[in-house]
Amino acid sequence: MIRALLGLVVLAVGLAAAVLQQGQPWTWEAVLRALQGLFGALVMGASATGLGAALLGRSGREVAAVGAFACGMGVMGLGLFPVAWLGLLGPWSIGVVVLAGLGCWLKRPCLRWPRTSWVVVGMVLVWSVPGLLDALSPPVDTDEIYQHLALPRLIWESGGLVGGFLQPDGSRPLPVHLVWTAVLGIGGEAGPKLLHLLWAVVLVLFVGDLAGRRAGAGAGTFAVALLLGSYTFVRELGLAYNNLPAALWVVLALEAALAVDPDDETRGLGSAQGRLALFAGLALASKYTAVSAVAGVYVVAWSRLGWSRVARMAALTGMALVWVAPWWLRNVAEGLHPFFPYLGWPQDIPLHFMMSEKYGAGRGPLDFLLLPWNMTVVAQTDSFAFLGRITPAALAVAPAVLVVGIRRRDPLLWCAAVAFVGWAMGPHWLRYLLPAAPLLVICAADGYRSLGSLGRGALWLAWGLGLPANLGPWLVDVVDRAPAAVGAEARSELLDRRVHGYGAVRWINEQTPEDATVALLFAWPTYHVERRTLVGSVEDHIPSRYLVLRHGSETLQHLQALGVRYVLTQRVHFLEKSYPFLSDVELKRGFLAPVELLQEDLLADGVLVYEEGRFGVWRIDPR
Amino acid sequence: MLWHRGFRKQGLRVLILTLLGGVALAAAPGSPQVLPLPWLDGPCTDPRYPQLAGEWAVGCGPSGRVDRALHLETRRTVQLEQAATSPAVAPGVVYAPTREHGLWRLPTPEVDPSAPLVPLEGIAPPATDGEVVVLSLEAGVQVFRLDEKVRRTHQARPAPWYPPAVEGDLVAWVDVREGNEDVWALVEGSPVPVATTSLQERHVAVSGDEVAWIDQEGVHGWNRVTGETWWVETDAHTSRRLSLSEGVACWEAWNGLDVDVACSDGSSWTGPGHQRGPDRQGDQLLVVDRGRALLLVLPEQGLTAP
Repeated sequence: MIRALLGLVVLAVGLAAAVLQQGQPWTWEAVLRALQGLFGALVMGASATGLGAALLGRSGREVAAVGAFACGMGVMGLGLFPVAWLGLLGPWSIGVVVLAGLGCWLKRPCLRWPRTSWVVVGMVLVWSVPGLLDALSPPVDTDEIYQHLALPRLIWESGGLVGGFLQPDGSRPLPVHLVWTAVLGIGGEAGPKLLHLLWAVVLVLFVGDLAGRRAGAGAGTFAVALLLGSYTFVRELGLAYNNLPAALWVVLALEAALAVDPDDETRGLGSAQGRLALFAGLALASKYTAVSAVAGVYVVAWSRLGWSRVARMAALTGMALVWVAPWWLRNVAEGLHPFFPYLGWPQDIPLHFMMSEKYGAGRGPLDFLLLPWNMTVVAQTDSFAFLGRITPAALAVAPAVLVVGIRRRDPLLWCAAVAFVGWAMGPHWLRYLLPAAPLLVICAADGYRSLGSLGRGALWLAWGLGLPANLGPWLVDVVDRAPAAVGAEARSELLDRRVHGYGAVRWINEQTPEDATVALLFAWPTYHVERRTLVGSVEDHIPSRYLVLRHGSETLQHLQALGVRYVLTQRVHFLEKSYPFLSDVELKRGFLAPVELLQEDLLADGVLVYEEGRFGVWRIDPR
Repeated sequence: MLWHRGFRKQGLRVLILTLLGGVALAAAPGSPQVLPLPWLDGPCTDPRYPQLAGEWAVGCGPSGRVDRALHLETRRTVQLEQAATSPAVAPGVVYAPTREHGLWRLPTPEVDPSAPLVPLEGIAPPATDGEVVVLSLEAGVQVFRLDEKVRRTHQARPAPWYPPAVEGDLVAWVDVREGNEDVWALVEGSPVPVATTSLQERHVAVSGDEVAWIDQEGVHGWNRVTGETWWVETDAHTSRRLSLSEGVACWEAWNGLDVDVACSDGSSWTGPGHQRGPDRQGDQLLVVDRGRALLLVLPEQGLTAP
């Protein structure tokens, strides 16, 4: 008892001395921001775990903590959907949901924690340091500031959902973004990013656990190392994206599929089949690009149930789609295509949401044959071809995976193959492979197990040699933002350096009336605009192009009718070389003409009140 | 390309020779001499450049910063070190007063180590006449001489982005203390309102005893000694700045289809596409014509405000 007390005293004194020591780079403001974010992330995590444990568990029976966490997050995301749709999302409704989850702990759930090696735990701790700095730094990532944090901020401020042709990202399924909204409300800006980091840590530990259970502790460590040694994975650790949440749901669906027993008549959410449908549905709702990974998981489940059980598989598919269908119904109710924004753009306007041809290293037969090599060796972190990088150890282990998988007729190999082929059919961005990444690295762990010491040593050598190329760009980026994360660099200085057009954003935040409505045309940084915003950018600036193509020279009048007084816009240069698959006429009509027409309209009818490089702010005076 | 001041017939000739580019147009009687300045064609991050700096013109290279100066007579070029995005420009002087930059006294490419530096660059580009500097800060305008260390801050609420203007002891700026954009000036060391209507008065410039600015109705001027005012009705809403030299203001004029350059003495520079960013200095007018920097040497001097 005395030793324990003494230990607590040592801890308290040590922490206080370390934090308060002169010369430390952090500021109190940064510490408080971090503590608030951490509080928000931990409260959400605890609440979700309690809720998930209550839903998955039966009295007295053990529940996997990771499954409970993931289930609770998904159910919260879906539960907040009708609240937000009714425009009732706010501190009260979020508080009720979070407290309900925390209240489930009163049932004293019996949780089973993931088991993994100390090496994995050590790696997670080491990788978490840059991850933490990443999460605590002000958002500068393009996808965060136009979508992943922008949507939660818009939803939080309006209390309701956004969407439609002018904000198409808001019409996707948003279970993860509603969770981000809740934690944004509780933990502030750092909340969603820290919760995402927690989510990623849970994913890594679970992958290590599952791979270790299948192929041994060393293979489990190797599976984790494949993830943590890949730029595409680590760069998302501290970003509030939805790829890694989808990946966790996919790997939990896989675990459920591997546990499916044709003779087991158990039903309910906590059963293997119930969990399979639950997690598969949540993965799909989180990110449509998880569809091929989910399909692969269903192949595993089908093989275990027996190929003749078509009706049962159809039922399981239907049960999974229950978690996505509400979002489709919402779109239909709002007059949109269920799969909007991927489908359902007006026929008379030349728009195509996401052109796969724009990405990757070619789509001929030889290109597909060389795809594994190119995606590993040729891929660059800043090129549209793959926009990422993975560890060379992943390619090195592939032959062993194929040999052992085919020899064993392992359904997991077919699962991984389906997931990979599905990804290859898409835009080839490596980040879109993330939902399937757990399946692939668990397969890789099986391959690792089949190798002798020479093969295993070679894999670790390839992994180590790949670290500079994979961790280097990430660490350079984190180091650049670390001073802002701890308060040593002013937030505005970082944003000035890193967010294109931030000068225009700052002008709007400082100079426009607080009730002003601002349209962002051909411009990304919605998240940082502290005013009511409309439009914003998505893939190829589709909303802005839609707006101009639909309303032509009356675009500004239309915006005025929507209450817009200021327009923040960018003179975008759509490069012909980025769209070689488009004819000159298509490029001009769909891309160049809208930019030109808007600039001419602004010049004619707007008043330029700020300009910095390609970005300008225009005031639209009533005429 | 047309030079409207009774010399329209020369327009086509000027256009052809300008398009052929590169060589100064031999001035026909009454026509402006057109000197392409390709070294200053690079788009600037701050589109209010290139600008005239006495015998020099300053502009941008690939960095988008104001990193180059061109002597208008000798064509000597100077690459400025530690270049800034939005420096103050005066005859022979380029000045960005923070530690990362400094004061360039042309033709020296390095910054003058003896020039005063300030910790904050302010909320808008600074202004200088080569001796006095004005900074727009959050809570006031700060005035100091380049050869002194004393800085005086006058209470004001200067608008961001719009640079103040200074010549001698005449200092003016766009002020937003009333919620919209007004013009204020320092008179005998105290801030006084110059134009505070419900319109948006902005893009202030000074020359001699005159202050000029743009609003929704046109371009206005005020003489602080005589109290006289003048006004040119024009649609100058596309302007990114206002140029004022020897009583003549020049601005961007929207003609309903595109942007032209117009001056308060009635002269203009028009043509297909946009003619933008006029900067007048005596008989010289710098314009950016469809992205190309041109120096127009005007046919006569002594232009006066209407």
